[in-house]
Parts: sequence; structure tokens; C-alpha cells
Amino acid sequence: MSIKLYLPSRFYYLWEGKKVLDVTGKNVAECLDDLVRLIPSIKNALSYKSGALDPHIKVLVNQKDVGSQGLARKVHDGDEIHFVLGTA
Amino acid sequence: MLGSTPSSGDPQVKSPKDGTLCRVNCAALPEKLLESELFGYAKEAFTGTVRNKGGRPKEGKEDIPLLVDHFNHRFNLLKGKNFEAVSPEVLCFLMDYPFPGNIRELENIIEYSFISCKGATIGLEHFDKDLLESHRKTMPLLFTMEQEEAQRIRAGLKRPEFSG
Repeated sequence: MSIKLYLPSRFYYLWEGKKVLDVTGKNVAECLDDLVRLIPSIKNALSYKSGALDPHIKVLVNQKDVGSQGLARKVHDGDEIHFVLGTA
Repeated sequence: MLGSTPSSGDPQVKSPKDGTLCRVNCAALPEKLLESELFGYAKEAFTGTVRNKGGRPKEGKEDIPLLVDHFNHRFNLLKGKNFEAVSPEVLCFLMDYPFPGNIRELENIIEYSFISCKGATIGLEHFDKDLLESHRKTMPLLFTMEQEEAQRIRAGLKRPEFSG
């Protein structure tokens, strides 16, 4: 199962200028865990601990904010995850 | 910082923590962000919670339309989109918003709207709902007045004398 995970623009440099990675997971949290496996340095940059993300960081799946579902939001093959740094 | 020869392209920045190198395209960075890109960020800078007095757009509100235009152009390039403008309500909101974080908060707000917007023009409906709600709670009367004024302008523009 392949999910497209789009990096915030400020983190493009972490992946050699690329904007998107293919990750796997059944929900957003598992996809983020996979992201950390690929780019370990992003863990500190996002203040990410497995299953918990800095509350100021917004997660969107298929262009819609996951809202209260948070990182438990289920994802499916072909879904797109974006996350955006603090907006409030 | 390395990259002394013209053929080496962009300078390379070496992380003091793990020694890894990464290329930085200085020409693509806004002037105000270049320093932090090269020399590091304050803790929580990415979340917009840092109180950076020098970088708060509130202190130069007249700059906000220029900054919005700058970020609009930047994200069009970065994300392969072609948004021409933001709605009057968006500009009105941003001019009023106190920006408790720093200039990156504005950048993040625009980036969020670039992702959530599926149409041609970015409107308030494409903003983070938590952001809108927090501002509504902070300045309820002003926010309502702005919304009402925007609705009046929109209604006025639909009148026959403006339709063609």
C-alpha cells in the first residue's frame, strides 16, 4: 500500500529537494513513523513522537484537514498526506 | 559553508550535529528567511509559536499584501499551481490578524491554503479552521464587521451596472 506524503516546503531540503515521498501505513501515524524511518532528522524538526505530533502542525489527507481524527485517520492506497507547520 | 567554485553550484551547509551536508539554493530564499535557513532556527520556529519581535508582520501591516503576493508566487512555483490571487476577505483577515508568531506563520497560513484550495482563488474557506476560530474568539466584533463588509462588496459587484 503506497501513500504519497508531501513534505512542508521548509523541509524539502531534508529529502534532497524532493517534495514527496512514498510511505506505507494504515493510518497517518504509521505513515509518519515510516517517514521518520526514511528521514530520521525530521523527528526533531517536527517534535514528533510515535503516535503524537506537535499540535500546531496540521495534517491534511486528500486536501482535507483530518481534524479531531488526528493521526488515527485511516489512509488507503493512493491517498495523499500533507502536513503544514504552525498556522495558529 | 562550502562551495567555493562556481561549478559547485549552491553552497553546502554542514549540520553541526551529524555533519551531514545539504545544498541550499540561496537565490530561491526570501531575504528575511535566508539567515535562519543558513544558521538555524529557534526552538519551535516551525510551529509559529516563537515570538520574534523583529519579524512580526503586524509591525508593518502595509507589507502584508506584498508578503502575501510573494508567498503566493513562491508556492505557485514550488507546488506547480497557478493561483492568481487571494480573495478580498483573505486579505482583510490577514491585515487584521495579529500574528502572534512570526512571519513564518503567514507563510504557513498561505501554504495551508494552497493545499486545501481546489479552485482558482484562495478564500477564507481554505484557511485552517482553528486559525479562523481563534481569531473569531479574539476579535469577534471586528471579524463579523469585516465579514459583513465583504458580503456587501460581493453583493454590490453582482449588481447589473458592474456585470459588464
